[in-house]
Amino acid sequence: MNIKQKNILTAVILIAISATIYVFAVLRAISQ
Amino acid sequence: MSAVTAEHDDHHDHGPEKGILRWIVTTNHKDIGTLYLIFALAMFFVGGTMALIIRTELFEPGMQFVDPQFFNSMTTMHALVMVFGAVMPAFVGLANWMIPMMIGAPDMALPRMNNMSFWMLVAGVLLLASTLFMEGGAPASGWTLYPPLVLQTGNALPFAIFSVHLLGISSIMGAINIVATIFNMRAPAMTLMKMPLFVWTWLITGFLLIAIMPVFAGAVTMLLTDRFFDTSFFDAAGGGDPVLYQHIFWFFGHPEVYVMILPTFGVASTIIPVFARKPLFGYASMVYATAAIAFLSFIVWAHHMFTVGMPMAGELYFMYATMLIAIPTGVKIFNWTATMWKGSMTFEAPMLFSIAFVVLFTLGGFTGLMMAVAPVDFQYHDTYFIVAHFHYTLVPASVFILMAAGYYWLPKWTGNMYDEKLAKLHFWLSAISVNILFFPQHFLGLAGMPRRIPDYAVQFADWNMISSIGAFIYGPSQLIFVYIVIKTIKGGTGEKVTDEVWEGASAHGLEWRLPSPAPYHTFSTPPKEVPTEHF
Repeated sequence: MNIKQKNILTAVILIAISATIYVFAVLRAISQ
Repeated sequence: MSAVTAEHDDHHDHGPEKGILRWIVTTNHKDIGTLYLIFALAMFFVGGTMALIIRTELFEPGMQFVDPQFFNSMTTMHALVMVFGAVMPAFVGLANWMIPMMIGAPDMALPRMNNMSFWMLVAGVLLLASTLFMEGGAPASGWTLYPPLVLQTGNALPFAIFSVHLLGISSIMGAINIVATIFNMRAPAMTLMKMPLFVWTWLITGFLLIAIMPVFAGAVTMLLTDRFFDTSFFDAAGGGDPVLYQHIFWFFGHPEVYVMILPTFGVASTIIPVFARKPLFGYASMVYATAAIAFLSFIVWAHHMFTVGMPMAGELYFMYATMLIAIPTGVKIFNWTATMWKGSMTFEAPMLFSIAFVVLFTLGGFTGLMMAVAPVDFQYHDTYFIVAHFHYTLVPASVFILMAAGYYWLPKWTGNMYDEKLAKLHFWLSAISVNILFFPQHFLGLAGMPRRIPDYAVQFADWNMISSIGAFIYGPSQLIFVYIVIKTIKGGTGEKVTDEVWEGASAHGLEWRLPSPAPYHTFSTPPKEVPTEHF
């Protein structure tokens, strides 16, 4: 894997983490 | 993870674009760093003007200049502009400029996204500022945007919420870029435990931002649906709970405080060893303390809400958990002091601001510890004591360190030396006036003066007047910094600086092994060895 692919993969993983946290926060609020 | 290949890239062989286009389309980390820093400085003055409006109104008891609604908008907008428009972007600017140079990388990992983060920030802040001119005025609920009060905002509410979304996306993209850069772009010799503390603190801050900004985005989205789509997340009449918003907000809000303070710690840990002419004391403990503070920041949020009526077990838990933060923070303060101990210290402007930071941040930290005591917090809550506390942790801490960073790296950025005499004048005026401004606010708070009010009882008159006088000195004093920066860019004292600028600095950081001013492209091939002075 070259450096460019590695950077994009890191970004994709981190974006997925932040999107998951967003969805989780709203779902937690809905379930209250 | 740290392998960097010196691939040839045609796009990196030329200098910057000519004219204004350079600044709009740039993907160069130094250009984007400069854009962030200039924007943050401009916003510092916009937010500062709002603060001066607040302090002018509070100069005397009674209503003087502005109506209460506008006053409340000023407290709200001052905070939002300072947090999201000034302090955070300033540290992102420093990260952009310095992280690639500190780790031996040619640029940030995702340069196009870097450009997009910056311009999204500009759009977000301009949108936020535009709410001042909307019917019903800008949000006036405080930066926490608590419902139900914030839902009474006029036409500005959806625009303010959209602006928060833009600022959040910009921050997340910036954080992703920084994390990816540190993970993937380090020179092979730059192992994690050889990284300068500024890089470490930003790595941890990056993860904080990625974790918390979506939570804030979720909270404000729910405000939006409560106002326009008949949901009742925070509306008790519909089965919701306004206290739920407070929990969500502070789950974001408390780590957000550390987003502003961890890079501050990083810069202080970078500057103090250079001017003490000693290695940083306790490098590894600094790294672990930073990680510990970041972890603890996620489990203490309800200390902002001691008075909402939590169960006793909750109050006790959040009280003790909050007190725990004093331990890693104490480690840091001890280490900075031990670094200076018996050092051959000199007191140039960056060091003066850093020493003032250590002393005054400690003061702000101690009042934080006082507020952590739940039963005592019932007296402090929503008073000027809180205002005094967090301004001590933000102004003579974060803002002072930003000034220190400016003076420290300006010669590397421009190749010129700043005017040390003027910088010292700037320091002393700032250091004295910031205490005149914020110290009396402790007394006001302890005596019971509530925050976010445009008028107050006469017994608070004297300290308010003194506080306002401090503000009238502190605010204009910052223009000296602008003058010094412009003068330095235009040639400074005329003295050409060496590559390492500060005596012995090249033993502390890779950036000091580069020419001054730093060339447009640096480390196209990674350096073979890295400084190990911090061991």
